[in-house]
Amino acid sequence: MVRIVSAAAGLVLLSFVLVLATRDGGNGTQSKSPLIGELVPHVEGIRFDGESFDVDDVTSGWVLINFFASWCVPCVREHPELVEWNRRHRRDGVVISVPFGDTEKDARAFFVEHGGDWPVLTDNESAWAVAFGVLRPPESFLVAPGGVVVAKWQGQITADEVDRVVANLQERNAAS
Amino acid sequence: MRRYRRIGWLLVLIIVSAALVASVVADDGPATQSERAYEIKSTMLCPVCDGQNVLESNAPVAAAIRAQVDDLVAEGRSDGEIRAWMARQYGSDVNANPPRSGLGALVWILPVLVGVMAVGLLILAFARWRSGREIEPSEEDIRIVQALREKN
Repeated sequence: MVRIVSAAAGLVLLSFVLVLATRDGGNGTQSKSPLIGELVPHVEGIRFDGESFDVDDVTSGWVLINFFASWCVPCVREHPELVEWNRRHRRDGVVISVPFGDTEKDARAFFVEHGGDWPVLTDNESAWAVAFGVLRPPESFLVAPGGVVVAKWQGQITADEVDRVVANLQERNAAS
Repeated sequence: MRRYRRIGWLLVLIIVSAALVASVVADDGPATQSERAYEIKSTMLCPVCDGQNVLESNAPVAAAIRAQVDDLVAEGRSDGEIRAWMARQYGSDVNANPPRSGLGALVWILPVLVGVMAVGLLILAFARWRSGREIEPSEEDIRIVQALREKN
């Protein structure tokens, strides 16, 4: 009887160890994105300048979707890189900024202060932030011509970093 | 007499079981949409906080999840659909309750198994204890006792 009870207790402990050992690490899921290789979630709205915007209309160019906040220091540091990327890709790409965890008033003031003439869209009810799985600003998603998400960055990005991905994909497409 | 005692225990068992079942059935879930949304949010963890649910957290992502849960509940999505969507976007750890399938299901199954085993062991132990009390002394035992009594 004692043996049976000991074996059962051992089995229970072993099961708990197995459960704990096979759990995902706390940080692992943050760097993954189920969106890579998928069609970009639908982003449509009224820009800060009053014009309407629909990501589905940008079929032939690259789209860099950037979630930012005016209070976020890495976002301030990153902004000149977005300006630079936007300058380089005036003909074949567009940056879209989406305030995350910020007020529209502060986001508008941010663009007045730091510049940037690309579409800035308000994410009503945070539907896009959840659809993109955004955790904290800044986060950026690169969408290839055709509408497939090809890269995600958590944290500050540079124009060169984004262009490396663009160049790699262009090379791969040219080779195939 | 023994039969009446058994019937008594059986009645106690039936009443306790019925009370447990009634308590579970009586808890028939949230009555309104906002109650349902509140229940989902209270069991959904903020993905960038330490152990806080999205109701308690001030993080922008928690606010985003709260707003989306409200929207999805209003759209008529089921609890399972909402939890699955959030788990897809933020990882399975976003749900405070462990999954009911796969290895995580052990968290639900093991306590029940341990409980059933404990009750089984208790029943076995009581049965042995009771049957031990009913052992009739053998002739050898009676002879030994008589011999000891005569000595004293």
